[in-house]
Order: sequence, then structure tokens, then C-alpha cells
Amino acid sequence: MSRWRRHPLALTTELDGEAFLVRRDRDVILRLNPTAAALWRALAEPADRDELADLFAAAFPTEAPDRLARDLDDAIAALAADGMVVADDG
Amino acid sequence: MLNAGAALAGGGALVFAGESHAGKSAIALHLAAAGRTLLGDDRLLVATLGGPPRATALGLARKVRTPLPEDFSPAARRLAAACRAGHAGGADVLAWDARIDVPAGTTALIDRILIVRRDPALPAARLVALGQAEAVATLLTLCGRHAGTAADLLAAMTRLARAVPVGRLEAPTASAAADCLNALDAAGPA
Repeated sequence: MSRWRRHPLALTTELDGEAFLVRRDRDVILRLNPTAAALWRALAEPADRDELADLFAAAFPTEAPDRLARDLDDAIAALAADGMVVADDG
Repeated sequence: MLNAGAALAGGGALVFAGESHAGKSAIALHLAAAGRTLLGDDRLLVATLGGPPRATALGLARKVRTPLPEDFSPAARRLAAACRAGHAGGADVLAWDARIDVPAGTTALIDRILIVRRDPALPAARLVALGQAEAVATLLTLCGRHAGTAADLLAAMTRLARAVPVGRLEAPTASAAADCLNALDAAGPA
């Protein structure tokens, strides 16, 4: 299973608990929704999808697990599509 | 470059920003009719490094879309008629007036930024406070050309939102918005 990590050129700005992402080499600024922001914080260290899912389940115990998993997968896919996270191949 | 106009107020600049058709030029005309000095009504150069955030006038000709809306105040109508210098692209171009317009390059510290939004359904103008994240997100949509990268732009808007109060001004008419801005100035610093 792939491990994910933050792209080394991605920069974070946090304001009022929200997060904006930008890459130094691109002309796009992202405003993260709460799920994506939580994912970004969780990726302070590389992690695989199952580790992230466990983290999310612990952080959001009242959320339905399948919905949480779906939101997590969507957030990973979105951040990967924008080049903010990359597979950590060691 | 910010899609904004500004009026001088107490030594600083009261910036009113918004997308096209938000009513910036109409608001500027109403402010001018009330005796305000303007740094511009459509584009401002904003700097956030090397000191407090400041706005610089570009010396662009003010314009107002025609026909004038029915809710224009009589004073604003008279001023628009008196200053009309030409017509282009569906708008009257207004002559530069030393009593109203500051020369290009004039700089003022930004006291407050208001994102203007016209809503004819509102009974009166109202001010809505914005959190810093919302302020940054909104200001980013109103930025035109900028120096540097997207990262530089985000940093600049973040500095701006942290240093200056940013709110939203919702009003049914430009006249109501201008009255609200004038009342803000009379009330003192934010």
C-alpha cells in the first residue's frame, strides 16, 4: 500500500483553523475543507491510507466509518491531483 | 493589484473592493458627491511588505456605467453629469478632478477593507465581519496582476488580512453603501 507524504514544495498557511495550500512552483492556491485540512495535518509525517483511516476514526468517533473513509479517499485523491501530496516510495 | 476603490479617511484609506458590477464606481461617485477624496474607483496597487499595508492610486479615469441606475442620489447624478468627459464601452468616462482624485502614485495606509456586495432585497446597508480565512479567500478572488508567485500572493493577502480589518458591506444601493462608509469614517478607526 502506498504511503503518502506532503510534496516538498507545498506551503501551508493556517488561519482561523483553516488551511490554504500553495506550491512554490505552481500558480494555484487551494483552500482546504475541514477533511482535507485534517488530512494535511495528519501528513506531517508520511502515512499510508490505513494509518490515516485509523487516525480519522479516532479523531471523529461519532462519524460513520464508511463515510469517513470515503471523505478521506476523496481528500487524498484531490490533494494528489493538485500535486500537494505524493506517494512516498521510501 | 486589487479590484477596489478607496476614499481617504482620517489620513488613511477606506478601501471598498468587489468584483465587476459590484458597484464600486457608483459608490465612489456617491462618496465624491459627499465631498470625499478618492484614490480610485476600480483598481488599486496594494503593498504589504516593508511597512503597514498601503494603497496607491493609479491615476486611472473614473467611469460609471450608463444609464445611471434609478437609485442614484440627485447629488451623484449632478456630479456624474458635470464630470462627464466621454463615453466608452457602456460607461461614461469622468474627467479627472483635483478636488476628488489624487494624483497617480499617492499612497495611503489602509485602515479597513470592505468587500462590497449589492443586494437590492436588503432594507438597509449592513456590515458583516469576516474571519481571516474568509477574508483571504475573498481577497484572492479580487486580485489582478501581482508580483511574484502564487505563494507570494497568498502571503501578501495573509499579511493584509492579519493587519487590517476586513468585512463585507452589503447594501441595496450604492447610495446606501456610500452612506454606510461615510458613517464608518465618522465613527473613527475600526
